[in-house]
Amino acid sequence: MPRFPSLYAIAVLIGTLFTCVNAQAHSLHVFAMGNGDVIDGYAYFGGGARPQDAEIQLLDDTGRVVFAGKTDDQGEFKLRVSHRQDYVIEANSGDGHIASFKINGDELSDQLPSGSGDINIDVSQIDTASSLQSKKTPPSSTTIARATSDAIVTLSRDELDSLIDAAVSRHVRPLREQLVAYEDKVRFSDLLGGIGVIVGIFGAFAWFQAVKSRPRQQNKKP
Amino acid sequence: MHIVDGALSSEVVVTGAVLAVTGISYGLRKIDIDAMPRVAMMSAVFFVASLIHVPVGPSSAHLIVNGLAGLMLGWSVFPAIFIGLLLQAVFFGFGGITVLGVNTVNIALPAVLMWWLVSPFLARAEGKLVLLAGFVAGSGAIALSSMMVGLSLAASGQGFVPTAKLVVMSHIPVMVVEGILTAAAVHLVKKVRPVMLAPAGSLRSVA
Repeated sequence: MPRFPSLYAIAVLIGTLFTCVNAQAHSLHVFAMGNGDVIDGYAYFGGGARPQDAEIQLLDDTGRVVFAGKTDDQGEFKLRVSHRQDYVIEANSGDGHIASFKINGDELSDQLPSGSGDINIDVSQIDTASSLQSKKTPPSSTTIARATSDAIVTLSRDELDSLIDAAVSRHVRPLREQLVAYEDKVRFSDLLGGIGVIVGIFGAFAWFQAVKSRPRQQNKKP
Repeated sequence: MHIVDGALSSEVVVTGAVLAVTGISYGLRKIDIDAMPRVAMMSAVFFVASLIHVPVGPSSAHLIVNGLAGLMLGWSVFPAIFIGLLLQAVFFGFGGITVLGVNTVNIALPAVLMWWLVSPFLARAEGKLVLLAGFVAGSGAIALSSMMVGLSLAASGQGFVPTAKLVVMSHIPVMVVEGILTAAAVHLVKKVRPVMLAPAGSLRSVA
């Protein structure tokens, strides 16, 4: 029989908790990228959980809400936009967490008309389930690849540009996701720094109190 | 549990700030020099505990330990929580600076309530009853905090019932974990250093 069973209980509990600790800032984040005429991305909590049916809003460069909808059950969303400009995507999980992310206009295809302040921007949500279907069907690029083996394919400059854009954004995406995740990481040094600051603040407060309550004559030897 | 900047109306933010300042100044006056290390320790525990996540399905909840902090600090829990929250906002971007007041009240007020309800019983309790009192304080503080987060959001224009339901549901695992943790901690402290369960500020009145 251990002397302090409670101590063991606490140790075991903290131990099991630390096995599932995510050293992640607990907050909602949203990540999105433009690709062609589609803005797609997802909302996630620090720690990796995805909020289902979180409210999302797309704001244009003047701050107007041009689209309001919800994420799917994977926390993802896909929006088709009609104009090329800077957008801001905002997510709200409904329990006091809000996040926003800026999408640069130059990620979108330059074949879209570039929008400015007072035009009507059409935004439509693409069903992510149907886009999964289309992922399974082989994209048209394979036919190009097959054609190159026996004939020269002619591509217009625009088609080539958009192909390159798509390829680059596909490769850049994981890097940007890593960057965002890195920013969300709680650093051990920050943690220790915080504890140090807390001890310092209360230490200073205690010192201040001690000085105030001590009679002045105390430092004279009797 | 950390409401972020921009989720609340300015009326709620101002009300929270006023209440928090009141609580903090009253709590500071209650700290005497013997209890200072305890206040600092609980503030640090709160600061770190918020990084311990309890995975719950689609949401993400973390420990708060406000029940335990309340039992050990009484009114002094206000400055302890405030400093923890301030540093979390600065270091990790939890919550935010403008909503500090609301968040402080949402976390510290239930802690004070639990101390007020459970402490007298805890002082007389023995054995299993100590564990029970600790569990009630630990889980009750989380339940109340969740309700207050729901209230804050409702006062800013969200529907109270769905919001509160969402926050409370996602914190049920946290309630269980914190109940057990607080029960074990209180049991241990009562055995080893019972004086630590006398809230800060009451030492002076006893002596």
